Amino acid sequence: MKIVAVGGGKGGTGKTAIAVSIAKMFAIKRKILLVDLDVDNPCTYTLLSSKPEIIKEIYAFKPKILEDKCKLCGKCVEYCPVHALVLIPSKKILFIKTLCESCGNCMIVCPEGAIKEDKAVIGWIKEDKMDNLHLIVGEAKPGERKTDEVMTETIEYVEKIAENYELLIFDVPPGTGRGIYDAFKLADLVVTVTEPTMLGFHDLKKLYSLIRSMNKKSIAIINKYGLKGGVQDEQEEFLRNNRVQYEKIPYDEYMVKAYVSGETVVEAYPDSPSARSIKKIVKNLEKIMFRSA
Amino acid sequence: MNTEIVVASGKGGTGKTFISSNFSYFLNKKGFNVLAVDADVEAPDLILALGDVKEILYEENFEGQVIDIDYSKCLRCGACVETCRFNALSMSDEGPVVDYNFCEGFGTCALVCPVQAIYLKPAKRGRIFAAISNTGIPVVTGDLDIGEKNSGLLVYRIRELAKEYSFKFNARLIVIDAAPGIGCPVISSLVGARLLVIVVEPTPQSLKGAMRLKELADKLNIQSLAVINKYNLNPSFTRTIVDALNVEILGKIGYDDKVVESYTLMKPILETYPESKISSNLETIFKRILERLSL
Amino acid sequence: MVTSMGWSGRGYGRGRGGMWGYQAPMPQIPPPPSGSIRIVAPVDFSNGLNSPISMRTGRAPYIAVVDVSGGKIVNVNIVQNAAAMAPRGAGVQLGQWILNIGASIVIAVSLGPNIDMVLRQVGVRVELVPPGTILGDALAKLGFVK
Repeated sequence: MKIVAVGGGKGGTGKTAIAVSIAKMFAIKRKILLVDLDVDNPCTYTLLSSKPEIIKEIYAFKPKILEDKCKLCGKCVEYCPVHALVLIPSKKILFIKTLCESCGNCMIVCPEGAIKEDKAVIGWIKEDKMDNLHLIVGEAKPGERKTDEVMTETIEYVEKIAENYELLIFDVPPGTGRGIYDAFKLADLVVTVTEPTMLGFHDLKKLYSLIRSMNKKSIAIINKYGLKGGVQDEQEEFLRNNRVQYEKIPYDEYMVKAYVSGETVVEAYPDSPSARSIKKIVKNLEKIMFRSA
Repeated sequence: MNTEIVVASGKGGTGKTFISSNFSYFLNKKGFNVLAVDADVEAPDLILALGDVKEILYEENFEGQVIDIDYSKCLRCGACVETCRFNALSMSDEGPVVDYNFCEGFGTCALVCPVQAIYLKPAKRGRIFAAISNTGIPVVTGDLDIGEKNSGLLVYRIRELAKEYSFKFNARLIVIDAAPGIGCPVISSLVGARLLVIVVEPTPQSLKGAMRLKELADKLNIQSLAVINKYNLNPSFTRTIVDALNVEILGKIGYDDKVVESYTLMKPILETYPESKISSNLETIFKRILERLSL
Repeated sequence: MVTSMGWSGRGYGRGRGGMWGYQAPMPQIPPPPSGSIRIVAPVDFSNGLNSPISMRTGRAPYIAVVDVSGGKIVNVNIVQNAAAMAPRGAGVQLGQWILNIGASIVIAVSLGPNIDMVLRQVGVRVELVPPGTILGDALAKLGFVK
């Protein structure tokens, strides 16, 4: 069983469309698990016309104040680094759930043992099975700040079922936080998707700092290659200097059309230059992952 | 007294920076001294959309805190490793090792260390800076180190720096490109602003985010207006938005190659394609904003 | 910042002197003199009763604390707002301090969601005023001062 993580710096580079395209193409012959880790705004399923259902809830530690034991000493308030606890004089301790970072300080410092470990739902794991292609989606509760936790739990769940599949593909959101690190850590190969804009380049460099520090094998895809005024030359030089193999997907009108109609370009316009590049990339990935033609 | 206009979206990728950069450019061309602020520090592209940095005027580090271990006291008992809920500590032959990619500096480990070998210390999390962009518009923004996240405090520091520079540049108008979503950094972007411009795209998530933004603005007594971006992606849902969102819609902008091109060239579309339909729609929208502000 | 058995009008709200870590604590000030009511307002700079009430509350640069008795001002104290530098929960930190110092009224331009919730817990009266209002004028207009 092989694992690929598809990551990209900024949003909008086309990473998800590419991850879904890769998944669909591999699923023609192999059992594939596609994992959507964009927990703030998962959208793999929209490109798959899928309606995943909740199979598990994800929790984070939250303190529970036992009012009969609490002596209103205020130690928990003092040691909460994010001010999620307030001492209402002579009345009670107020807990502000939305600020809580689940660090556990309050539980440790309470001299009366009046704080117990409780939990709150911070997200869900959803699933849909479509023939050879199975989809797992990690989704955070709207406004939830502990998105890394939601990602990490989704990854842990997926690890347990991974051996049933030939290939696991993580669709990793932009950023460089904890959840992304955990996905990359497991991956045999990291596929980075970028676009030839300055922000895309800025994020690509940041991402490669992380990838290098983790010593991960990777290939890069420059999507929307050929954008007028784009910095693809600088990006190619950067990738060459870092000895990263890269592929290009040309910017064509078909990609835009497919995006507007909510489909992947390989389905909507299979003979377009962009679709053909994606197919070539999948063939290459097949070689890298499975050492076959 | 300066006027702050916040451009926010409740969901990322809708085109906030596109609107705020072109709005800043428009105001500048109209003769207003404007200062642009990028509160979306995880994706600091406002200055890129305004032609990239011409000259950096000021720079300072933004700090948070992390833990460190006094190994001379450490018993290698492992209590800290077990306690950390962020997996930032692991045990090695030399003792506990801190992974600074994950240490949040909450100090839970310090609380359980039996010999008080763990202490808190300041750490750089990013930087904030003021610069002149190549379009001539001053921009205040920041940049985060790997693994770091935006926060209410960082946005606050950026806005403080912006106020300082607004005096230096005699800028009466400040355009703030807010962070995406509706969390702390967005609240920090909004508090005290004069006007909120919500950028919404025709998807259900974007509409939901826009409605929650409006709720937030109402609570803070800030006037809201909306712009529908990329409306051609789903014209029928665009109509749904007009009905569902209880905010005055200033206008609609289509998704088009020219937008992507301008963005790549790092120039506002008002500069690259001033005669285009998109540019004329933008100008109509921006003129309306000025009317609502009585300017 | 907080140690003894909640607020009961005695003591200065003694604390360990610091928030956990590197954050500066809110300043300590004596409780309101007996017979007076304590009014708090976030202000943009320190100029006594001529201070302008800030558009921000949780992260306002200064906080004005005014003790009033029988329509007359007994005390005016303007302190730096340490909560402005809180990485998160600035409004909560300020709200906690407002409760600790025994204020019963807050005059502000707007309140963020967190500080609003905290103040509601003890029924602190909140008076909202238009931006730019000067502290002294607000006190007079609201009838706290004759």
